[in-house]
Amino acid sequence: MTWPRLLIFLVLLASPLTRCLSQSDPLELFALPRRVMSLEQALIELTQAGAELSYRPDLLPEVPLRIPGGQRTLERWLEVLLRDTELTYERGAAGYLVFPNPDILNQPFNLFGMVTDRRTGERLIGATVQVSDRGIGTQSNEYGFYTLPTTGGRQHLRVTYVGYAPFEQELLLRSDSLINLRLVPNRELPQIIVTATNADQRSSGYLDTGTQIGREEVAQLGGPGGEADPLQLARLLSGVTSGADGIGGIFIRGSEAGHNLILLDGVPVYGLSHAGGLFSIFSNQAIRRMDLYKDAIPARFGGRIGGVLDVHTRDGNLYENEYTIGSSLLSSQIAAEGPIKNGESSFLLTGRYFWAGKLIRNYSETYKANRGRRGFTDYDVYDVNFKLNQRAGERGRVYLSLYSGLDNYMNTTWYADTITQINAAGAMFINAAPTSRAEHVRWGNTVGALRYNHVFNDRTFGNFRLSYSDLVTESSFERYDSLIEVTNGIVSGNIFSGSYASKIRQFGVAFDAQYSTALNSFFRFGLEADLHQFDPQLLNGSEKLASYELEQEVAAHDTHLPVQLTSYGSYNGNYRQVYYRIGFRSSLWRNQGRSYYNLSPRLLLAGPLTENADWQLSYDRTVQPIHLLNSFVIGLPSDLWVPSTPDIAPATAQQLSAKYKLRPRTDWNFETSVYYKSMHNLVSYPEGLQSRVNWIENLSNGRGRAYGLETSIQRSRGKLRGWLSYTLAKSDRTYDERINLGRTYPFRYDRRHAVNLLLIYQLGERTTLTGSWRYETGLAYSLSLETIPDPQMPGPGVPFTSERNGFRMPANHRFDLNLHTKLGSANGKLTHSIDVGLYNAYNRHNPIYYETRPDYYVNDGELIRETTFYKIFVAPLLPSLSYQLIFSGGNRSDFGK
Amino acid sequence: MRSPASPWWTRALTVLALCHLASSCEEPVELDIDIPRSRLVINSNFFPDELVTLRVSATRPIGTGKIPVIDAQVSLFEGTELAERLTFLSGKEAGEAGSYSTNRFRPRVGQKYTIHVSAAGYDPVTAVSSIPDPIAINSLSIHHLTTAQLLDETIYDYRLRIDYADPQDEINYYDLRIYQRVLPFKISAEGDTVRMNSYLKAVGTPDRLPEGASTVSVLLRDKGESGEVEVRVQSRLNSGRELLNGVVAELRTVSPEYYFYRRSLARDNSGAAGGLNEPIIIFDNVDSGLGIFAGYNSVKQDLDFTDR
Repeated sequence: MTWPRLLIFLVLLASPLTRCLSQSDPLELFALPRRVMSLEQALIELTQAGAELSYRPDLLPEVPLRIPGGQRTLERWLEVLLRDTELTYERGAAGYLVFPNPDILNQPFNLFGMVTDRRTGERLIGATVQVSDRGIGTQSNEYGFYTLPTTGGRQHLRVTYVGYAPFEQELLLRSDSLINLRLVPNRELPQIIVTATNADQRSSGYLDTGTQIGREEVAQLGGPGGEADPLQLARLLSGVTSGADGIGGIFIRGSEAGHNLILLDGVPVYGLSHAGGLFSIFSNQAIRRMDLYKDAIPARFGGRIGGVLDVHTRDGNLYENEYTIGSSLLSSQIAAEGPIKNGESSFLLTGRYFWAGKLIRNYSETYKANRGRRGFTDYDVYDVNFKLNQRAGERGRVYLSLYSGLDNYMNTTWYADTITQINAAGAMFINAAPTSRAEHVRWGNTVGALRYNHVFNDRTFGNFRLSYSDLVTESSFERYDSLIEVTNGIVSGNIFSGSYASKIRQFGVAFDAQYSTALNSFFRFGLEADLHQFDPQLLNGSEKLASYELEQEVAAHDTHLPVQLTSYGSYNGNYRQVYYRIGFRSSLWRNQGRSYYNLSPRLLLAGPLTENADWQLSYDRTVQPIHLLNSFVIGLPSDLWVPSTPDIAPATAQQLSAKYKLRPRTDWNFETSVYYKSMHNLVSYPEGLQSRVNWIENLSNGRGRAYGLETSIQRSRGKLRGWLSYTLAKSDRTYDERINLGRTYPFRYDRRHAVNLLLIYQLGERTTLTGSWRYETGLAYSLSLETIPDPQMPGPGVPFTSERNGFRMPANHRFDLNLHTKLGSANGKLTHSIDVGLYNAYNRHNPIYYETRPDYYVNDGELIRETTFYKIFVAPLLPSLSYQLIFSGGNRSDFGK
Repeated sequence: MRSPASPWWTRALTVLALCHLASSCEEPVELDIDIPRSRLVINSNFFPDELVTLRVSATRPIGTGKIPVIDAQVSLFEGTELAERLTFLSGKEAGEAGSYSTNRFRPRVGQKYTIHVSAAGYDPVTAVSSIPDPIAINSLSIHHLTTAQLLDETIYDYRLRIDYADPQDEINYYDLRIYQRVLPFKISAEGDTVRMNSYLKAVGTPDRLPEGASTVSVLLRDKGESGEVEVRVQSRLNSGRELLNGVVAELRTVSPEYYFYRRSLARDNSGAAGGLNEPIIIFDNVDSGLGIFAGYNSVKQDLDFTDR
């Protein structure tokens, strides 16, 4: 015990005696010097001056006080000294007693506000806000808003977020307080954001079920041609797959590409890919982060039965201008961002143009000509992101975000082999085998959102949204393999041709709100209304069959204008150590006079098992009133979005999932999950009927199921970071007898085994070397290996397939390597970002599909036709290179944004 | 001055990458898989009181020619009793595949028939089917008849409406075939019209011209909710040689095997070879092999067209 404390102790002991002896005069003046001292020192000096004071030293805050100096009565001094504390005083018989104010300490208050990046003003999603001395905390939501119920008094606020220096502040809470928190990016080695929860966030993160992908990890991973793509990283997560090199889209836990809800700033996106899936539409310069939900899907997400990919774009720097120009081996990029009014409004503009398409045209013409072919390949791709945000009063902000992108692909090839045949009598026959391929595909998305965020009060946050989204596709193809007997003018062969066009538009208005009731307990609720417009137009191809099923006559152009009304609500809470989220989503879909009403309950339970192990159970029911019809075995833009109609019910799915998480050591996470998912009312084209204009009456109806085990181990900090995951999964489909004769068959992307490895090695403060390896069981594919004689026609017979998806392609695997570095001084105005790497480092030719083509040759005077299998694949070994030059106002951080 | 975004080595690498990309996105491959063992393929549609005929062939690895099987042992069972061993009959024309046929035995309605085929080098196969009862046609009528002249062709476009006695308490399968009865004629030297014997000719639809003898064939399960079936048909006749004499509807009552087999054949499988389309899985009812062995029954009804 130090001597002043001993003194106080003695004073307290003596106080009953002195109380008996005298009562101090309330008007007596006491003097204190004008200087900075602690509260305890000030009270001691007053006591030494004769003031009758009683207090507990351990309750006094250790904060320096600037004493104004002079003489005051004791009550006046106490008012001055206790003004910024949770203490109060009372005059009693023994003098003045200083004690904690029960009115403040027991009174519930709320801390609330926004968490933002101090340098750019970007709102930070999922930041952990804690009152560390009380062991309570919460996380900011996807708008950066947080609310933390606590009680009054002095407390220690701590805010943490991956890639940012911890923010700490002592504060005294005497009322509900709006505190906007601005974090400073740090220069530490970045943590991998994916799968976020760490020890700090444990209690507040049980119900945060999304997997977050930040743009910095995406940049470190690189991509084909140097094109960083967030989906490349998403596909390295367990339970997420795609076709070779991304072709076909993204598949989450055995669902189809059209089952995923893809949101760009909250607005559904109908076309996810450029180049058929090689790149996504999400420019890494424009996105801030991406959240992926495989299970335990919050009630605010709906309208699809697969996973959810919630993509948030950046807001643009509120404080300084920043410009980026750059190029990869495939595209050039520009980005500009900066304040319109410093600290209040900003803009962000990014654009990509795939200039490689122009080189492809010139090169392909020459390439084809050198091989005796005529034709060319041409490909134009661009996309643009634009965002504005403006502060609207003290508690509101308005956002306008726009995305537009276009792909325009054309490929033509014509060639003819001439085969000369001489028979035994010496007669010469000349045969020509012309082959032609022509494809033209054009597709584009536009997505727009006007949003207004408002902090209504300390408990309530709301977001209003007007949205627009469309996807317009046009495609046509023509191909033929012919044999022309030049000598006698006989022509044989078939021409296959078709054209597709489809248009889907969605106009929406929505309101989403969060109302906090207690610590980690809040309601989330909202309303949405959407008007859709579908203009599906189908293949017009030639048919040659004499037999057919009963025809129905419908208009080829059949516009649908369905309306969807949705409401949802969920409650996050906890009962002791069991954290729960219970939610409901109700939707009404009305099209052509028929209404479908669906209620989708969601339940999530989670909690700690031991000090470093957690558990989670979830149940999700989801409903999807629009369907994606795949025209081809791989996902292409010609796939058709169609609405639920009086004859086509919405698809539904139910998923049960369980998860176990273990943190064996700091920054090491082990996670294993099992799931079972059943899907109903799936629709698909029946075999051979992709070309029918009357699609409504001719779709097959079926069901599917998917189940599996996912395991991963991750190290999120350190020089060597990354994860290793293994997935064991099965997914199948059963349709009516028009698909695989009604028998159950494997889903095309039924990957039995999948292994993903991501390793990020920190070579220096600004340099990382990233290697990623993925291995997946081959696609299930309907390959015809034999022919069956055609009883009507002589000849080689017709290809015969006995089982849909009965053939397994070779395993899909690939290793990519990327060196990512940034050059430039810490406070300099120029930063160079360089990526050098190898895509598909060991040149694996992962097949997308197989094609058979006839080859003709003469053997013993006889014209022989031989069928050759061709493996179609996308990307061989490719160097990847990307360079970006960033102009900024200096003082920028290189990591963790 | 070069742009900092695209120095010369960027371009060089780009060209290198594109060359590689454009030249390597397809390659001929030898599929490293076992060649499927050839299986027997049988094909037979049998009818009451007619000899049973059967074609036998075998599957082949893709790209190789058709090989008829001429040395098979083919046995037909009625119930559990051997009805007859079929004998091979060569094709009448060169290149035409032969077939197997009963010499005496003719199947009947209501019996279960099993075919057993074995041949050297193949697994033996069996298939079972029966002949359903015939279903009567209640009415047959023509609606919305229009005619048009196109060069030397007269085109009759109409809707044929047919009602038949489909039993309601069971699932039945039908193959409705439509023909036109054509009356050929010629103009004699004296200018008289000489009419000859009529014959049946295939009809088409507005979308499809008839191909040879293949006429319109509509596969039906029961009768549908409307109670009648209406099919739009087009008859095309040579104006200078043919007269439309009538329309003939043949209602085949078919076994489920027949229905599913014909239906899978009816779909357009032309795109499957390209590898991008899902192929059609052809129905078969042959154990250890492929093809179809299916009985059917039929009734026909004529609708006179002369006075239209």
